[in-house]
Amino acid sequence: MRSLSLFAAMAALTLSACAATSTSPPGSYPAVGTVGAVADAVNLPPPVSIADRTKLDETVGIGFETAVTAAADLATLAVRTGVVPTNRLGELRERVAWARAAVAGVRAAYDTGNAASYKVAVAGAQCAIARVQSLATGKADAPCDVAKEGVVR
Amino acid sequence: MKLPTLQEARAAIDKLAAVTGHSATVEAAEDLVGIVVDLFDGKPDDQETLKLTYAEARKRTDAALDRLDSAIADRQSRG
Repeated sequence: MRSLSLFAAMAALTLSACAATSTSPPGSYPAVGTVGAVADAVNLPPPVSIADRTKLDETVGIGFETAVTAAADLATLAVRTGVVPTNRLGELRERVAWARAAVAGVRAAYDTGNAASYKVAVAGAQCAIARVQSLATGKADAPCDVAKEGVVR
Repeated sequence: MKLPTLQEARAAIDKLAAVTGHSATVEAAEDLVGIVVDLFDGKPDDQETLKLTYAEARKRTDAALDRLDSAIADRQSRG
């Protein structure tokens, strides 16, 4: 029961740590992928070319990194409190490695502008982080299409 | 999917504090929500500060992932 209460709070907190955007109504927090989708919908150029004209890149990036931090800290708590069973720690370690790679992909999109779409990198990383979180909380994996979201394992 | 409001996030933090009694975790959670609230309020609002904040966010993420790896390794070493 303690674990269920804890992770209800963890899940809500992690979601709340997803990116905010200046176009959102007060009191609501759209997911990072939503911000990326907005960027694509208005045909914004790749990150580097707009870096000095808008704060969209950094805002998405800060929101995304904050969400990852929240998910990682909460997963750490799950490991330390013994909520994650010992026989699944190896799998969790693999998922953390995947998440690191996905996060690096988002950063590369920001740093170099090589990614065709910032949204794809963010969506892929969200998927990886969701898989870390689902293992930590014991819930089923979130439905995310690894192939479509451009995640490289 | 319905995303939590600020009030719900606050309630989640209070619940976390009540369940875990882990003050460092609660403080970290409050910091994270504070960052999101600031972003929502349009802060920081200049490019240079945004870039610095983003750089700090990256470091914070790396540190959090390192802590997670360490926690896993510690549990595994203890069997």
